[in-house]
Order: sequence, then structure tokens, then C-alpha cells
Amino acid sequence: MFKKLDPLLHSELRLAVMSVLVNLEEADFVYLREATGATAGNLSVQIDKLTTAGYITVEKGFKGKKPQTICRITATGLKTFEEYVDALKSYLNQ
Amino acid sequence: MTPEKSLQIINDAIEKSRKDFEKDAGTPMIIWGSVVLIFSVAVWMLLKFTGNQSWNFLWFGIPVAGWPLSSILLRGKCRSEGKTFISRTLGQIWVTYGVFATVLSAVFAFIAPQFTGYLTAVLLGFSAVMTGLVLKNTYVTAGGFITGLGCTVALFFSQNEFVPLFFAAAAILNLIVPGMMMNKRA
Repeated sequence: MFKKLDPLLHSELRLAVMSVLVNLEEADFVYLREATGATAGNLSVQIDKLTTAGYITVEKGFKGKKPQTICRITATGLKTFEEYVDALKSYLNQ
Repeated sequence: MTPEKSLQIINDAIEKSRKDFEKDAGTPMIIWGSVVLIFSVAVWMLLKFTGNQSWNFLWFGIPVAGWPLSSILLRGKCRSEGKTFISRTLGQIWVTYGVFATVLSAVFAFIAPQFTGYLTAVLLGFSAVMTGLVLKNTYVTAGGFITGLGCTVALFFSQNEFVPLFFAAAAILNLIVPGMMMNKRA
């Protein structure tokens, strides 16, 4: 029996963002852009979707004089990610 | 998107994060180690050739020179920022060391300046042990123990004139060599 894959995570860029954040306590927008190879516009849209779903939190601030956006995964996001990986296993084990 | 592709994305992200954090991870240790080494040798030479104990105040040149130098040299390497539990913990260990070493040096400079080098070296060893344990790196842990215990024992047996040389050796053992090893492994 295949488990249902979370449609929000089942997207290349959103999954990449979540995979990076699972490994880190926090990452800024520039790091995520470099890690995923996405454009700033596309990444911004996907981060908004993940934030709205409660999977990540976004904190806007400044580092020196430059604006900085820090992203962190939430407990809900971590749980959803773990369930997504579990669901993936059910597909791969067939 | 196939399950295989999803797994590949997750795997790539994990691998990239790991490589990003290993890349140049040893550079701050090399920079600070070099600063400590230069100042230690300078203090030793000045004390030896002038006999003037006021040169002990030159120890304060380490944070004064180290902070701006590391900021300048690391600026280009830190355009983007991601933090793991390990990188944050290591940063905090060494900032704590810097605070304690500076405060302790300031106090002992007036009470017993001859102990300043030993005490800061013991603290250096302690910080190196913590770093080694967090990184699960046997060399760094062992190097820290050798420095910490070695300098504690040296407090009883050694001549004060060799204190800066102990500190120079500690900088090589606990900062420069581990930093080079970390960069080489990355």
C-alpha cells in the first residue's frame, strides 16, 4: 500500500529547501538560494508557501546594514518531512 | 516527480550542506592560531632581550589584532549563512574562551603576570577538548588534553621565561594543525 505524499513537499524546490533546513538550525535566504540553485523570485514564492503551511518560519532582520532573511524549520515541518520520507520508502520498497 | 528523484534531492541537499560546512571550517582556527603564535614569540623575545615585564601587556594584542584580522580574512567566505548545531556550538565555545582569556589576563596582569600565559593556555586546552568532543575528532581532543594538563603541570616545574613558548606550542597544537587538518579533509 502506497502512502500519500504531501503535495506541498512533493515539489523539487520546496523539497530542496526543506531538506536543507532539516540539516541546519537556520539558514539565510542567500544560503538557500545558493544551495538550491533557484532564482530569488521563485525561491521567495516557495518560501512563502512553506511559511503559510507552517512548515518553516521566516525572520527578517539586518546583518550590519544589509537586510537578512533567516529561515528555520518548525516542529510541524520536521514531522511532515519525516512522514514524507516514510512515504517515499513505501514507494521504493515495492 | 518520481520517488527516486525526491530521494536524490534530499540526498544532494544533505551532502551539499555537509560540504559547505566543512569547506574552510579550519580557516578561523588557522588565523587565530597564527596570531597567537606571532604574539607569543614576540612576547618571549621581548621579555628575553629587554627583561621588562611590561611586555606582558602585549598579550592583549591578540584579541585586538585577531578580531579585525579574522573579520577581514573571513569576509569573502561568509556571504551566505547557515548554522548547524555544531557550527553554532563551536562558535560559542571559542567566543567564551576569548572572553574568559581576556578577562583572566586582565586580572592576572596585575596580580601575577607570570601566570597569565599558563592560565590562558590551560583555557585554550579546555576549549580545544570541547571542540574535539563536539567534532568527535581524537587529535583535537588529545591535543587539548596535552595542552591543558601540560600547562597545569608546567605551572609547578617550569621557568616563567618559557611561558610564551608554551603558549606558542599550544597555538600550533590546538589551532593551526587542527585547522589545517579540517581544511585538508574538506
